[in-house]
Order: sequence, then structure tokens, then C-alpha cells
Amino acid sequence: MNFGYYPGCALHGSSDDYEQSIRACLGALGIKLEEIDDWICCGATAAHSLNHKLAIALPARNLALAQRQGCAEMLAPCPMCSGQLLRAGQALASDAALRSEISSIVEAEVNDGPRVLNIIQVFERVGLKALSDAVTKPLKDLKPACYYGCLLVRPPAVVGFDDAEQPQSMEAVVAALGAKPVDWNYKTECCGAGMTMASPETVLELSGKILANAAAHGANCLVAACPMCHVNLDMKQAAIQEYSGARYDLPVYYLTDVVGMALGLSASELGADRHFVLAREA
Amino acid sequence: MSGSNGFEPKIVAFVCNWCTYLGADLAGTSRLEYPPNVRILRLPCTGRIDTNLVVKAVEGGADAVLVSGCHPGDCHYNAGNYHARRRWMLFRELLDVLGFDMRRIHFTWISAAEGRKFQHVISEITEQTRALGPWRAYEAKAEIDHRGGLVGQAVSPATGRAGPAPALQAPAPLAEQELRDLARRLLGAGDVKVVIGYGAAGPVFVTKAADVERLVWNEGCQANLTTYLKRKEVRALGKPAVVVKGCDERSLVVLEKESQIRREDVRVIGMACDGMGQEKCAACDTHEPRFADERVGKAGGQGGKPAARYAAVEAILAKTPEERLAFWSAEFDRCLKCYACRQVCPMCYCERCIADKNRPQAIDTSPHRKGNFAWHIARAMHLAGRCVGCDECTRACPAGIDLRLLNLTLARAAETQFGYRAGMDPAAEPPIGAYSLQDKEEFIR
Amino acid sequence: MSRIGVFVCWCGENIARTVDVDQVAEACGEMPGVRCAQNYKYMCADPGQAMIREKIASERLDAVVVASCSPHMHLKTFRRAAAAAGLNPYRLEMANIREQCSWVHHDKDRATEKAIGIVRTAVAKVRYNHALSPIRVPMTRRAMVIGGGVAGIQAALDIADAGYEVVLVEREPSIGGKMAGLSETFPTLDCSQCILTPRMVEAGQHPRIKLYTYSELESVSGFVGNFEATIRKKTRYVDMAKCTGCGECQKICPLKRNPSEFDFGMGMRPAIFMPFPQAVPARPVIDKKVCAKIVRNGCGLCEKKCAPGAINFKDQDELATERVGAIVVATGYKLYSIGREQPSAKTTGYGEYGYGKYKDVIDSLQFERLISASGPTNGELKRPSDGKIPQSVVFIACVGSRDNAKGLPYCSKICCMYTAKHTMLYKHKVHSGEAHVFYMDIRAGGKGYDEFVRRAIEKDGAKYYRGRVSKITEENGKLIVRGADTLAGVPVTVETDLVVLASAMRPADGVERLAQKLNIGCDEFGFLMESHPKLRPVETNTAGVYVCGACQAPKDIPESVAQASAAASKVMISFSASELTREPEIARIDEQTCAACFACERTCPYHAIERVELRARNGDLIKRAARVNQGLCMGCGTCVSVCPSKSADSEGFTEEEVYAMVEALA
Repeated sequence: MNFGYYPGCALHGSSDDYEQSIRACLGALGIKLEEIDDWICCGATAAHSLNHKLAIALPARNLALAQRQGCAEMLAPCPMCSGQLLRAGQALASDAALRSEISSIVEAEVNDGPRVLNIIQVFERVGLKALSDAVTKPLKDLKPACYYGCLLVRPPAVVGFDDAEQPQSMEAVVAALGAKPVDWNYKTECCGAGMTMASPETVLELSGKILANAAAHGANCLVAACPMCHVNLDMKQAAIQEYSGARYDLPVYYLTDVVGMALGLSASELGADRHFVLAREA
Repeated sequence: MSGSNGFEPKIVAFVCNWCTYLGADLAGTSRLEYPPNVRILRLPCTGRIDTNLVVKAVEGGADAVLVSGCHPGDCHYNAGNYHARRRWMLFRELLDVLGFDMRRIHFTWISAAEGRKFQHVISEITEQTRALGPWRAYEAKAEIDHRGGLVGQAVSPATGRAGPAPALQAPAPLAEQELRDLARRLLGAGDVKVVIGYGAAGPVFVTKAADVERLVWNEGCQANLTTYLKRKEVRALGKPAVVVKGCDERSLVVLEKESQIRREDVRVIGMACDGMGQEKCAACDTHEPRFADERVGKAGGQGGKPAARYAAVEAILAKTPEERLAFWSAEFDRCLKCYACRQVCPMCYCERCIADKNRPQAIDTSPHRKGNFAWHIARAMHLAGRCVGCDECTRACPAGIDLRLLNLTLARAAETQFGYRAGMDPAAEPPIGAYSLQDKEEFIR
Repeated sequence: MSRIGVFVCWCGENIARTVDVDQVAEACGEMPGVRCAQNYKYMCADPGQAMIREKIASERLDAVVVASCSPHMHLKTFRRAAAAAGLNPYRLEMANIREQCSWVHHDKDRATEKAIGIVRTAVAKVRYNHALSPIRVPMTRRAMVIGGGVAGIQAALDIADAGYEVVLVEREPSIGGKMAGLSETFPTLDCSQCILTPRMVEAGQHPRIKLYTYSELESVSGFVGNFEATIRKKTRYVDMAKCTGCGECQKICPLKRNPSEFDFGMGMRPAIFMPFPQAVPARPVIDKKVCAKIVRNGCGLCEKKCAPGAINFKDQDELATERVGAIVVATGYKLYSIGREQPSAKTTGYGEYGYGKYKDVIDSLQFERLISASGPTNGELKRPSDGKIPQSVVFIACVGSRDNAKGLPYCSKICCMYTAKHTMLYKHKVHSGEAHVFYMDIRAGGKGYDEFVRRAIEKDGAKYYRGRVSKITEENGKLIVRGADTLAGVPVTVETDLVVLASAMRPADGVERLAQKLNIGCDEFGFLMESHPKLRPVETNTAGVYVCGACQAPKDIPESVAQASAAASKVMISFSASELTREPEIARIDEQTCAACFACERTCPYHAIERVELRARNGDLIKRAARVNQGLCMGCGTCVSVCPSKSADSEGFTEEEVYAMVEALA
């Protein structure tokens, strides 16, 4: 199984542990990732707050590159990136005039581009049954709170993935690994995201609620699929605990971490030893 | 009021009683003037407006015909207009292939509130027809010799007909023996009373196990034997087994759908077939029987090219309407009204054919051009969504008229418009008798 | 040769101004078969009609053409005149030379020429017109009402009060329907049971109403005036005749904790039970899925306790047949399922509201039971999880309604009103409590309706937020409702004790199957189709079958009752004579030439084609053929067009008549 791969800036910067985890985990499943040559920023929050066309053109160029590279399906692990790529693809598909304008801006013919996938969809392509069969170390003791954050399932019209308010797909993946996901309330609440710079208290408050609710529902870890969320929940956890006075010590894993562990990979192979909150040895 | 050339076109409008007729009444009460060239014929519903009637109006010298009824959703009888729309979709394709002037056949939805629309439609049609001049649909010069086929097409020496014939493969003698053994077994066990099969010279009806040697299986087995199932004298023989090829088998599906046979009353012996050298074989995708009770032989595997299925229709559509009309005029001028096409067709099982109904005489019986057109149009429409393309009509026609092209035209329409191929899927709904709200109506104003 | 009379009308100046009526009459006189042709100033006036009558007699006319206005205007008038003179009215045709000639043309020569042409087609046609007599269909003056809710009860009582017998079929053990379970009703806040139970008793005791409770329609055959219905009486295990309804069995039954269907699971009932104390008939049923005697041949206490010996564990389903002439469908509604289990792939549901997960998230009918004086808490509002009195309740409107993304696109119509009612009833019971309502729009059209909602807001202090709720979660025994107030432009979070979801109305379960049995249509949501939304709102496309109440569309009690009375009056109209008289201009099929392909059957919009077997005297099958049911055919003639042999024909527009018209144009 091969996928195109668009890492996005975060995975080559602050969250390179996520990239390590993805490559190790998917490698163990025999999946080859073909990184898009010469990819650029997806535009993230900045582009569309400045200029609508820029917000289309940046992801459009990436789509054009991917298309030139001949990939049919492309993994974009960061939900911000995948959302921007999907949004641009849809805008181009529905507006021929825009398509020709953008094509001339990015100097490449942009058509449908590849199908953009998030990390959960990659596991769905593998198949939950196949995934479960590949497990060598069932995660019997893991009670994760699966955390989707804002963008993985929203806006529904753009991502067209799972249920915007009551998603279940990540639970299905971790259950296939033998883990027992908890039913909790904050799966799709905002972690505070980029406010971590402008208004740290906001993040401490919002991410604190997420951790509190996960703990209250008996979770012994969180599983996330977004590099930004991971930063706020993991790196900021000490600050959150200080701010709220509560203690959680909840390790925050990427989805690929828990899949990788179930496949028998070690925390260091997955980069999970580089997280801030480390699992307590049982 | 006369046109500059003094020509006053005659427009015949078939309208439904509840919408368009009332729309015309409203034009009257609103004193909306329009040219007096139109004659309005009131029928209860567009569902009642048979395509034969339209043909009759053209025969009678109409220069243009309008068929008009209630807008979708407004039908006084709920769905009459939907059924009508479906028939029009097929009818138009047929007339087009025949080379009729489609600028003279109009379809509209005019509601009881649309007096103004009625006025506009009649005025426009009248002016347009005036500009076109008189409709001389039946006066075309019959100038294309059928032996030459359609202009520019090669004639196959095998069939004497246009179109490529696939390479012949002699059917395996093994299959013939297998067929005879099977027939012997069936007749011997009393499972069936007669085996309808191919003989050395035409069909054979084998009723005794000792006679199974009369059955043959060779490259001459072109006939569709299912047509004999409708014959009273064959029925009198008792439960039949019938030898079919994958293509013939399709007619059984249609006949069962139309309550003409009960599947359990017929034992079906399906022969794998690599083609009998007929035109239809080139596009065959039913080399193996699919529903047969007994199967004999195995097809060699060189399937036809389904893409070529409607090549003949596309070829004639590439001609101008005038050329098409000239071609068909030449074809139909040879028609003797012998009705061999009807006799041989497995789908023509009416006890009293419309052509034999003389009150009223919808189709003229004497062999002249108008009546011949009317007959072949009616026949094609009756076979719309039913014809399985066995081409027996063409084979039987002593005048060598290219009848398959008409059937193919409507088969193509049924497939492209409704995704339906007669006799392929027993569960599929035939296009006539059903309708969809999504049926295309870009031709209806 | 025919003896046709042609009568050309001047219509004062209306025709005569543009059409030379003398010339028309003269030309008509020359047409084949025409015996006499006359013109007159006003054909429709008494002297004109008298002229037609006189000529029919004096010239022994066997057909008449009146050349005047549109047949939609005066065909009936002239046909009556012809009938008065002894001519079969269907032997009279009209030629429309006013609306379709004199009024739309100015050139007198051409208009006259056209008028002659129009008359010529009418003359050609009328020669072939058949003498027809009205079709009479025997009418069984007895009705069946399916569904014993308020609409069904109303329809049944109306018909029975008019003097006809009614068979009332209800699938639950008691009639009463949803209304029997409501607490109080908007906009008057009168007690639902106080107004309904007397009607239930009346229906139960009416000498002309035959009640089939705990019964379902198995099948229907026949047609208008002549239906034969088979009704399945489900196994009750209680002999209705012997049982006195004393209730001792319910008291002694040890299996008391089964969720009550009537209370929507808010209360419990024994294995043998009456759904509610005022049930009609006041007879219990045994839940065979629960009863220990039936499940494992244990217990049997009720059988021992029952003094009249009414318990019968050997009871079986029974089939009953009833002959009726008309059927009223009043099967009502159910609530949209709020959780993840959805009726179709189109609706994804509202898993985020936690219905079915959090005990204190309930639907509106459950809330009705919780505040009803006859409910499981005797009207004291206690929340399901811990029995505490909720100090705050959040009501969410439009759950499933008007939501193309997750629910159903239509408005359920009654939710705005009952939600306002719920807030009032709640505030009247818990004075200190807070009622919060999230709504999309307030739709309160109706007598006293908007005033009622204003009262809820202004007098009883319900807090209304215009906005949707995104999610409900539970924390520490409280429900956290998060939504938006779009008027204030702020997100709203309410901590509350109880959430009530005003979920959408859907047609009752099994309505599609019922519609198939009755040959009537459903829309894409399963609501039954009326014949015409404005002019035939309670008829269906199957003659003799009527609809009323919420099975046709979401509606409230007053509307359901009004529609039920409308359906009843339609039934009574059809019962006003022992025979149903129908227009004879319908289809017929020549069975001799019919090839039995049944293309007509597939095409007929009214399912009026029947399959018949023609048999010889000794019983041998001669042939199969199609036959037109004269009770059902409406005369559209669609069958004629699809009939390959033209064995089908339509009276009034026969093939002979129509071809004669076309040929007359040549």
C-alpha cells in the first residue's frame, strides 16, 4: 500500500516526534509514504485570514505537485493541513473560472488532485480486521480518551468524515488494538490551539477541561491525531496542572504511537519517549 | 393573413382535456389572438395520446404536430403525462432515425393557467412551419439501393448486408452429440413432451426419443426458436423443451415478464454459442446462456464488442435527415405487408394484431408508402423496451428491409435513456409501463 | 346513415361577429350523416335548448353536435337537454367555436373556415359515439377505520352517528392513541384525558361501532364499495367476553417491572396489564414475551386468581373478515428516533444529545407522561435518573425537524406549541424552576396559539434562546447543555437537571406496508398521500380509501379532528345511495382480443386493471385477459396507448372516435 505524504510544517518542526511516529508505525504495516517533492505551507490559519485566493493557491500548488507525482491518495496527518487541502480541492472542483486562475498563479494545471486522507482514514484503508490481526502486543490495559479536536471532523461539509459531534472512528481503531476507549464528553472540544501564544490562560483553561473530563471518565491516557492539540495537552500539561491545581499525569499519544506499540514497536522507535508526560511503568 | 408564398400550414394539436385544452380556453376568454392554422383535438390525457395517432395526423397532411398536456405533477390522472413523456422519448428517437423532420413535431406542457403560453406556442409553431413549407414526409425520393446499404458502408458477402460479420467458428460436434443425448434423456424420462430444436432444414419438433438424431447444432442455427412457444399447435404437443442460444434466451425473460409463458412450464436448453455469423453476433455479450435449465457446450471466449452494439444506428444518424428519409422510403417501398416480420417475432403474440383491426383502421393494410411507414413505426414502438435483438424479422423479410435498424434504434434509446436492455435482467422494470420523475424532458417546452 | 343534428350558436355577437354562422350551418348541412343544421342566437338559453329537443324529436336525430363554447362550459347543459328529449346524452358532442375560434381570430373568412373544420371533426366523432349509461357499483354501507387515536375515534363516531356501521381497528390493546397519554393540551390547557376518555367510552359502547383492539389489518381485497378486509386479532390470552376488567390479575402478577409502552418507558407495568386505567375496552392483555407461564410454563397465578376464568393460555391469533364499502386510515404518528439508530441513511441522528445514554434526556412524549396526573409519578415531576425534582429543564425544539443535514427537512408543526405548553406545565409544578428553550423559529399560527407562546415567555418566564444545541454532556449528575443564542450572538451553556427533546413527527411504524395493502401512496417520509393537496385533502388515489390525522402529515389535535370529520363526511356522501354512480367514460378491454400481456396493469395510475381467467362451461381455462374495474377506472386512457392490439379502449374517446376526428382533418 502506497500513499502520497504531505507532512506540513508542524511535522518538520515542533512535532517531528509525530512524523517519526507515523513513519515507524506505517512502515511496520508495510505502507510506503511518498513525500510530495517541494511541498510548501498549506496556508494554515494565516493565509485565509489575509487573502482568499492565497488560501486556495497555497494548497492548490501542493495538490498540483502531488498530482504530478502521480499519487491517488495522500496522507496529510495534520488536520489543519488536510482541511486546507480539502477545502481548496473542493473550491477548484466547483468553480472552473477559479481553477484556471489558480492554475495560472501556481503555474501548474490543477485538477481534482489526489484524495486527501487523515491518519484515521489510512488505518481504515488498512482495514480494522487486518490491523487487529497484525497486533502482537494487545493494549489490554490502555483506557484511552480519544481526542479529535476541532478540525479532524469539522467542518463536516469540507472533511466529510465521521460525525462532527459524536465521532467514533478513532475509538474503532484503538479498540482494534485491544484497548478500551472511554466514553467521555470532550472529544471535539477546542484545546485552545494557537492561542497558546497570544493568550496562554485560554489554553490552560480549555485544555485543562479536556484533561479533567478525560480523567473523570477513567481514561489513563489520551490519544490525539493533531500536532497542535498534542502540544497543548502534552507540553502544556505541567502548566495546566499548576494553573488548575489538579494532577492528571495523563500521557498523550499520537494515534500512530498506540498503533505502533500494539505492533510491537518501542516508545523510542516511535518517538514517544520524547513526549513531556511519560507513561508510568505499570 | 396569408404568408408571402400563400402557404398556410396545417397544425394538428393533440391536447389533454384538463390542462392544455383549458389553457386554450383561457387564451380564448382572454382574447389572445393566434393564427387560425391549428386544429385542436381533445383527449382525456396525454397518456391517451397514442403515437399511432400522431403518425395518422402526418399521413393526413399535417405540416406540424403538437402534443401537449399538464406539467409534471399536475396530471389530472396523477401519472398519465409521465407515461406519455416516456413514450415520446422513445418515439422521437425513432422518428429521428427515420428522417422525419423533427422541427415539425412539438411537445409542450401548457397548464390551464397558461393561456398566454398557448398563444405563443401556436403562433411560433405556425410561423416556424410556414417558413419550413409544406411537409412532404411521404414524397421523398427513394434513391438508395438497399444492396448498397448505407452510403459508404461495406457490404458483407456472407450476409449480403451492410456491416461486418464475425469470423465463423464451426460449433463443436461434441455439443451436438451432447444436445441429442440430453434431448433423449428428457424425452425418455417424460420430463418434456417435445423438444423444439434446430434441424437440418429449419426447426424440428422432436417428440420421440428415437428421433433425437434430427437435432443439429451447427453454424446455421440462426433462428430464435422461442417464437414457436406461442403457437397453438406447438402448445398442443405438451410441455416443451426449447433450444436457445444466449441471445434467444432473452426473449424468454420478456415473455415471462409479460405473462406469456410460465418459466416452470418450459424446459430451457441453453447452447453456448460463438456466433452464427450474423450482424448481431459482432456485438454479442451473451455467448453463454444464463438462465437455462440445461447447458450444452462452452463458448470459445471471443466475445463480441458491446461497444459496436449500436454502430448501425450511429452510422445512419451520421446522415442528414433527408438522406435517412430517402433510405427508409426505399426500404419501405419494398414492403409487401406480408407480415413475415410479425409472424417470426417471438414478441408479436397478440391474438389480433393492430394491423388487422379495421375499426378504426389505424394502419393502412395495402402496401403503399404511408401505410408501410405506419406499420413499421407501430411495430417498432410495440417492440420498444421489449425487442431482444434476435433479428429474426430481418432474416424473415423477403424484401430484405433493414428492420433490425429500427429495433436497434429503440433498444439504444432504452439503454441510453433508461439503462434498460430487454431480457437481460429479469428483475429490471421495463421502460414502458413505468416512469421516473427524472425522465429527461429537454425536448418538451 | 346517421341522423345528426348540428346546432350552431351565435353566442350573441361573441361567435357571430367573427364567424359567419349561416355559412357554418350551411356547410354542416352538407357533411355526411348530417340530417339538419341550424343556427340560433343563444343555444344555451331555453329557446335554444328547446330547439334542440324539438329537432331531436321531429327529425328523429340519433346524434347531436352543438357548435358553441367550450365543453367545459356547457357540455353538461346540452347533454341534459338531449337526455330530456330521449337521446342518450353521450351521443351529443360539442364543437368549441368560441374560446378556440371566434375569440382568438379576427379574419372572418379564416375563422369561418376553421369553425367549419372544428364542427367537421365533431360530426365525424359523434357518429361513433356510444350510447352510455352511468356505471353503478354496489355500495356496502359500512366503513372501516384503521387506527383508534383521536382522529380514528372521531371519524368512527361521526360515521356511526350518521347511522352506518363502523369497524374500528386498533393495534394496541386500547383505543385512545397518543392523545390518551398527553397531560394537558394547548392552547387551553384542558386535560387531555378529560376530553378524550368520554369519546373513547362512546366509541366503545356505540351500537354501530365494532371494536377490534389489539388487532391489525392483514389484507384487503376488492374495491370501492366492496372491500373485504381480513383483520388479525392478536393473541390476548384473555377472554374478552368472560373478563370483567376487575384488575385482580394485574395485582397478583409477580412480574411487575416491565417498561410500560403507554408511559414510553417512564413507568412499569405487570406482565398482564391494561395499558392505562381508562382503557377501552377495559380488558387486559398478557405480554407473551414476559409472562412466566408462557415463557417457561411457570407461575399461572392470574389464571388461578381470575374468578370468571377469563385467562386462556391456549389463545391463538384469529383472523376475522369484514365487508366494508369505505376505509378511513388514521394511523397517526410516532416520534423520530433521536439516537444513532436511524430510519434511513439520510438521517444521521443526534448522538451528541445523549438520548438513550443519559437517563435525564427524554423526548416530549416521555415528558408528557412525567407530568401527567395519570402518569407513573402521578403528576409529580421527578426526573428518571434519581427521582429528584428538576430545578431546571432545558427544552430543545426542532430535534430532527427542519434539518437537512441530520434529520428531516419538514416542520413537525406542533413542537413549538407543545414546548411552550411544557414550559408552562413545568413552571406550574415547580414554581422556582427554570425553563430554558432552544428554538429555531416560533411557529404559532392558529387560534390563540401565538398568545399562548407569549404567555409562556412573558407570564411564566420561560427563557427562550434562538439557537441550536450542539452537545449535551453529563457531569456530576448535571446535564451540561451547550448551544448558541444567535440573537445575542453568544454561546450559551446551561447546567440543568432534565432535557426534553421535541423530536420530529414521523408516520407510525408499518405505514408503508399498510399503504401497499390499500394501494395508496406514501411520500418519501412515509406520510400517506392525499389525492390533491387542496381540493381532495382526505381522499386518496384509491377510490373509497380516505386519510385523516397525523398519518397524512404532522398536525395537532384540532386539525386531526377536523380532518377526521371531513373524511367521515366523504364516507357518508359515498354511503348516501345504495349504489355508487360513476361517469361511464372509462376504459374497457375486449377480452376476446386481449393478449394478456398486462402492459395496461403496469401502467394504470389507479390499479384499475384486474387479471381474469376466462373459462369454458366445464371449467377449462380458455384464456387469461385483463379487465377494467369499473369502480376504480377514472378514464385517463393511458391503458389504450400501451395496449399493442388496442384491445383496451376508452369510452368517450374510443379509437374509432379519435381516428374519425384525425381523418376529418385531412
